[in-house]
Amino acid sequence: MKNRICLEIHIVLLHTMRLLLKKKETLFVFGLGLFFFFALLFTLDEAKEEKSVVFIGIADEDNTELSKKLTERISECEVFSVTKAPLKELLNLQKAGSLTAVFVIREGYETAVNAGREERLIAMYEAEGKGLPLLADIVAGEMMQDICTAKGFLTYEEVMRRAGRETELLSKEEYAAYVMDCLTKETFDFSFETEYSDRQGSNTRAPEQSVIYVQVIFSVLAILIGFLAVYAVLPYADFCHGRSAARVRALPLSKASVLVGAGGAAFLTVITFGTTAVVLLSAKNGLPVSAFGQMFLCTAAYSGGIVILTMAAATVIKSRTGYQLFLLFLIVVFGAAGFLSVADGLLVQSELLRIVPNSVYVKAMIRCYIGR
Amino acid sequence: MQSLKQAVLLLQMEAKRLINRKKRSIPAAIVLIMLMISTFSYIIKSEEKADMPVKAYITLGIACQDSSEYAALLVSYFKDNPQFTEYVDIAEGEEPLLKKRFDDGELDCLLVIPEGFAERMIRMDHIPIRVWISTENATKALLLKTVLSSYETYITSVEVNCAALYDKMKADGFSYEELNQANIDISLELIFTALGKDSFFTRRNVEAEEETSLLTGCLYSACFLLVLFFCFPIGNRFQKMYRNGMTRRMTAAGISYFVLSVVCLLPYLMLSFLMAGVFLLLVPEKSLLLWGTASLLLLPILLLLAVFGVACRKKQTYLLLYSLCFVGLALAGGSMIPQLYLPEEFQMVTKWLPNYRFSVLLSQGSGGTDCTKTMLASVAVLLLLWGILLLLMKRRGEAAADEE
Repeated sequence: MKNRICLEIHIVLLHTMRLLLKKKETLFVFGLGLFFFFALLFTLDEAKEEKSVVFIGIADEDNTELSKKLTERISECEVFSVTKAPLKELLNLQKAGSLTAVFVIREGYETAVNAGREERLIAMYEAEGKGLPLLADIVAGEMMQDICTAKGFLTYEEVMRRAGRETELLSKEEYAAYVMDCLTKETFDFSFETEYSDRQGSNTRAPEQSVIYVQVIFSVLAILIGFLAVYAVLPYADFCHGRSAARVRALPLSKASVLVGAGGAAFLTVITFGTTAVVLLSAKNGLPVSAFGQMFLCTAAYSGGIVILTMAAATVIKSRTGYQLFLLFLIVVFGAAGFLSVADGLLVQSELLRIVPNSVYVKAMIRCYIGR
Repeated sequence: MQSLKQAVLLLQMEAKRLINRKKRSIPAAIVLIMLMISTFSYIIKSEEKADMPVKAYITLGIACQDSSEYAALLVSYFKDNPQFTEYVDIAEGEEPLLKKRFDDGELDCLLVIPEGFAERMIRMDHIPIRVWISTENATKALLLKTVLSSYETYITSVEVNCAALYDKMKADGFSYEELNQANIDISLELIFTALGKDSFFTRRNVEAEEETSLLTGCLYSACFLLVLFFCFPIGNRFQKMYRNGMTRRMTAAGISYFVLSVVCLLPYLMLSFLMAGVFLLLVPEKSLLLWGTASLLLLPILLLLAVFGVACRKKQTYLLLYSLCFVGLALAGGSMIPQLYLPEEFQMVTKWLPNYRFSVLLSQGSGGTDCTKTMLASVAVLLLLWGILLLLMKRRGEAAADEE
């Protein structure tokens, strides 16, 4: 009995694999999916240096050396993706939800800083109740050095004047250079001793700027796996609803054997795709073998889950078109939920989104990527 | 006149066919639309609840082991600063207790100010503040990391400028008293500047109702996909027309390909106009111009489906092309992943995709986008696709005739 079941599963598995390999659609989706993932991986890899998690806009209305330097420094902040444009354009983008905040370096910025005035140098546009005031703290950090140096110079100028030594007075530029020299020569070692933890008692690497792109990559991978699963489960759907070849239908196969055999073949197809993608990703980013192993396990678990879900849909929905349309819709909804839930807080906070399989998968993959 | 009569007759037939054959699909469609609308409103409501992202945005624990007055002042600066507490929930307590809360996932970040911290700071002999950041949410962790790094910059900026002035004056031969006085003056000045950093900014609120979140943009783009989802049968209809010989019979009766294509497309065109009208209920601006532009953006994609239908002989090939088009638009058009999160190369493509243009149109209203330009572009693509459709229909008709 046991041998018979094994034999049946073996027959169904081989038959389904052969069908999948013969089918142009499956091969096309497999190849196109891999090509798309590969292209995305490389384009995102180039883009990750420029982009980050918080999108802000800067309008430089002062257009002086100091304001340009400030814009440059803010752009280099790893948490920001900066769009530089005139205010009107930026406000339109903010209205469309593309920017979290808009900073306007007001006209007269350089003059005010040099005169030791620091009030209202920057106008910050944020939606009422939706802004992230933490961003202002980060921008203020980039302004501090210029403001402090200007104030230091004014005190120095005052002291020299009081002592009647105007002739020995350094110029503002010379003084600023002197401060910079001090910064490089002496040690100003105030720092936070930071540890990153994943709350399961394990230390992790510091989060990187690229984290949002990794989220995009994993979200897309989850969608592609789902899309491929729809095609990989098609032979099972045909088995279920009597659309397979007459010679196969004539075989006295039990339902369990069909389920395990066809499901196994679908799983093997999907996991091959998933593994290839994970290998590419690990090789591209030089991830350790342990991270690859964890990501492989996550992908295997997710692929298994998706194949089971797809098979359930195939069992219930009799029409081939209906099955494919229903799953297409589901993949898009899950895909969107998967990305939106990981960009937590900035886009949406909803418990409903977090329980979607794609969200769970993307979160688990990020945990593996950041590394314990 | 004759062809007009024929067209009206055909339209009547088509309408009857749709009503009779799609009886089961209509309730399913209504349920789907209701499900989508309730999901949208649920998500938007949760978003509104989370509007004060911040009320619950970051939870911070502070364990202050330094009993000095300065350390208490430092903690109270953060604790009593409404600008800070607006987005950070602060919990004070003993290190072991707070660490346990951090490990339990109640805190996003934990700061431990060591004993003697303030005193040593005054002497510029720092003991680092220990920080634990949870990487459970990578976005928050990155934000916290950057904020801490900017706090380091504040302190370093103050220190280096105090030290530079002191060194310069010392090199210039000022007396100890003068040095001391200048040092106290500049230290106080710079410390107050750092603490009063909020005064650097003028906050201008953009009216909340005027602002659309990235999520809402995604939802508008998803509305477009919903139309695409409902219009799947277009291609099927064209395929069936060839399979059951309807095209051959109609053309033999003198009906042009143009009339035939209009008859097949019209119910779906009307459906998309109707759905564009429904979607306008979601946005504040309800103008005819916006409705017209939104509807015109929907039409080219319907024609593309018709082109797919005529070009593919097998139903499965059409389904594959349709699926690729659907997933491609969802991925690159900002329905799943907001456009700004995509790399530059993809963004170049995204800007031309109808679902992205549709979401921009609904988000920014007719004032934010050039409706005339969008309408002209839509009409141009529409005409091009219609030309291709007619050409393909003619070729396929000729091929069928040759086969016979």
